[in-house]
Amino acid sequence: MFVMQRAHKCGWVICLILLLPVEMPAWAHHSFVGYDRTKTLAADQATLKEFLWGAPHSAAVFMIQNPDGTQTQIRLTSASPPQFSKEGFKPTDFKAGDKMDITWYPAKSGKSGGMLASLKLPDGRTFKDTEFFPAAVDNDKQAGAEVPK
Amino acid sequence: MKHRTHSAIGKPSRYVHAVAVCVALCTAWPLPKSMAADSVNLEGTWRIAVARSSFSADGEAIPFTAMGRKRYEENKLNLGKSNYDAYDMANARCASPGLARLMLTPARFRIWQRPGVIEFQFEWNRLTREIILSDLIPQTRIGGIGPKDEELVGRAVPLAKGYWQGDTLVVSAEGFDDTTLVDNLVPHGNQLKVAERIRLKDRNTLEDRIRIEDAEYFTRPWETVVTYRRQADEAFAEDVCLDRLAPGTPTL
Amino acid sequence: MGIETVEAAAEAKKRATSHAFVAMSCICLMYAGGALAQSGPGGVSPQSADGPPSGPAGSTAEQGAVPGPGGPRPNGAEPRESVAPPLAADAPGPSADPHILDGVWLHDSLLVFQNSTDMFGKKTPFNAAGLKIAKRRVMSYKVGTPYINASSRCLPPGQPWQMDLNFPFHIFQSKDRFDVLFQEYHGYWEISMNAAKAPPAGYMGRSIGHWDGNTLVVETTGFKQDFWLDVNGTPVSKGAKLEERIRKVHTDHWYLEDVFTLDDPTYYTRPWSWVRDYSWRPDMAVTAEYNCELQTGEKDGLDSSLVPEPQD
Repeated sequence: MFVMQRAHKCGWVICLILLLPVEMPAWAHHSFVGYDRTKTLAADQATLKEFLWGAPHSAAVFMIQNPDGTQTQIRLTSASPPQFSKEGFKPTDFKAGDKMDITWYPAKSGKSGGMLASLKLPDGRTFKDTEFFPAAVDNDKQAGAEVPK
Repeated sequence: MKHRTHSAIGKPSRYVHAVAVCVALCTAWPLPKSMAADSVNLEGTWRIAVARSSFSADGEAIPFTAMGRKRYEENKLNLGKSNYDAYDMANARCASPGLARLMLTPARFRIWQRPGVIEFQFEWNRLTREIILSDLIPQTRIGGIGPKDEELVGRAVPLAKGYWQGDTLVVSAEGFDDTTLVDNLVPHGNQLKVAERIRLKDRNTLEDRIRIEDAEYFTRPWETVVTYRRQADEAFAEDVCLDRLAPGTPTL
Repeated sequence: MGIETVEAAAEAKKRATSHAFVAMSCICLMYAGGALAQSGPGGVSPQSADGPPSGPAGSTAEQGAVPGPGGPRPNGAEPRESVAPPLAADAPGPSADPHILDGVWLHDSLLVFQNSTDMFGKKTPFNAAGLKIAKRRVMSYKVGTPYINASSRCLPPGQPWQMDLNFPFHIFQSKDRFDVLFQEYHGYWEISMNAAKAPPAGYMGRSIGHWDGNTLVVETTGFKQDFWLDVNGTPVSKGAKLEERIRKVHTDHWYLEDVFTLDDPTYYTRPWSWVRDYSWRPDMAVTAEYNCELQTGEKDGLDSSLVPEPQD
């Protein structure tokens, strides 16, 4: 099912982060510290199950074909519509059932999934996340938080 | 912004009379019960007069296209198996039922009328919908920030524009995503347009005539009417749908 | 900006009598109303280890704007810079009546990720249990496995988290209560002015309000579960009592000042207080959809970077 949803949370708050040198919270329920930016995983021809442009944050769900013929579902936090739009993509470009080559930063928790790094559409166009990683935002603010004493 | 401070001029007691006059005449923001911008008072707590899950097209069959009919029949099959996950995100995940289906809620809703915006507050899962009667823009676009790209993304409950036509509130909404159903079974796509004519039939009866249009799923627009009875003004308890979520169990 | 209310108000004023006394009284009312709104409340002051402080010399009190209970803001928190685009100069203002809080408000100061001090600059008075949890949560960020919390599941997060987020909220005021509706998490917070009519407690607790002069005092108890005060996880137990003293203030802009006092012996050695401002933003009445359960309501719908918090 092709799902479109408004990316509410990435409204002016995120845009302020990206456009102005103002320290603002990216997401108030957690930060990006949970994704391992030193690693990139990849899967070719993953099938898009859902692209959810909305709360808590935009996410894409893919089905990855395993060598043994089974499938694994992974959920990837994704960039918001403005980021895709900057690279010439519209939400309607992402259709459920489409096969895409994807890369992602894995979750440090060890759970499958992570943060979408890039994807290549069936028509050959490629989206590459350049906003969050490397981050213009101090999204490790929480990692640098003072440990209470 | 810096906080500059005012020094008070005189003592409040010298202007008691002025307070009475000026509150009535000079206050820019209306008191809660003021309807300065609207001609009819729809405020109050409402509940659907006859509980139901489905719309009828004014007593006729819903004019499905072939695709609409196919999806509808698939939905019926899945409903029979309580397989909400396949087609009904509201019952399967507590997702928003969407603009039209919300008007079938068996729970109460409250209408608040404020300058330029009419807000519906739903008891079910604390959802809301807004009807914009002014040129207020979405807060995500305040200051020119908040790209129009977001408006390419559909919603379950898109922003609705409205205006008064005599005693009737005329409303229109488009920009839907396809995550919802028109009612508990009727499918739609992202070309859906919902128009409404909302009025008081009498002081205690609210009527919403709803027009559904989606060329992908219906051969022509069709209409339906829902009525609501006024309820006592009571606080809503906090409803958290996720606490009621269980596989195969409807949440609506 | 053609905001309809400005035109409607202008029309109302045109129709009103142009009597000089009324005109002058209206002007004076703006200042008198401002003074009324700013007058300090009576009742219990927020808690500091040193007791209620007095306003220092040269404080804003001497300039006519009475600071909130407990004195002026500590640690240079004033003037509080707004991080939101400014409100248009011709935007309508709220009612000058200090007992009317109806309207759209926004926390437009930087989000406080971690309440490590109270409003007087004193360290947050954790006891051993509170410190253990607070440290563990901060460490979870440092090691890159942050914990699942109410907000990530799209459950009501409690206060002040719900109001702290930099997104607008509506206060709808009626005779017996305040219905506060938030964009984020499609939140709802109800303050009953008549305890007999208050609904049962929920995640946001059960809030009973009363007026203390021009200050709305809200007492919230009965939280459904322990919750997080802030993004970094300053803990609150479900048995806590949270008091808020809310008053409408007008300096160079209108805002609600909310002084919170948390009484939670489970995690703290004494009650402690913090303060927030929420600016008047009638231009932000059109809020955005927050259809989070479309994701969080699905099995395995939570972000994979989050892990369950130990329950000890």
